[in-house]
Amino acid sequence: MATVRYFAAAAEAAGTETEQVPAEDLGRLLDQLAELHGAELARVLSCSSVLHEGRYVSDRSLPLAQDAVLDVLPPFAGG
Amino acid sequence: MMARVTDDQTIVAGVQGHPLSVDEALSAVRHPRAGAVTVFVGTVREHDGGREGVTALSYSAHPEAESRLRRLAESVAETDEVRGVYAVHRVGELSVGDLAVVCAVAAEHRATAFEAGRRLIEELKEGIPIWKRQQFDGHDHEWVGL
Repeated sequence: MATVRYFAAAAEAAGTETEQVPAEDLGRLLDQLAELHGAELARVLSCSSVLHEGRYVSDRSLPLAQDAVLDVLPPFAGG
Repeated sequence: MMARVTDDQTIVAGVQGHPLSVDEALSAVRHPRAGAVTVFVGTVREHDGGREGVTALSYSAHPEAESRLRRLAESVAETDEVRGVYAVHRVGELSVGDLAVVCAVAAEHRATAFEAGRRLIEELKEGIPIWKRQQFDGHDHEWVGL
């Protein structure tokens, strides 16, 4: 089970800050998240970056370990 | 908040829930070798993206925001002639006019202070995981940048 941590607009769209989702790779994980939570989260995901073990990942074929933790980061707006 | 103070320079970076202070930034970067200090203050405005009626906003940050901001401040501090770098961002609930971010750079001469100060705020906006939720007077809200 991968652990997904949502931030800001992603947390609002998902209705939660964290959840566990079974997925073998990044692509299938993202597809599942959009399916679970609907169009608004899909929209947020489409412009978010994903942080995995301290690095930004975008390759959908990236394999995910059972204990993987992924952070969904919407576009930054500091300043 | 982290601070690294050596004889050569001072670096302060942080994300904090209480009000920011320009005086604190100025005294942090003060250095006998510095002949110029630039300060950037980002404030909450009552309009955004052509829309009026922003009444409040809240900033939130990723747990790694502070360490990333520290690395950015350290990188700017590597610039030749820079003697002090201060970059602190506010999180939590803010009102119109409140200070959202304070950046300061002290350098031996003004050209460096301006250039390094500009780089600091631009790279902060670009790369530090901080989010802004704007509340409008009609009770709706939006996430900036989305």
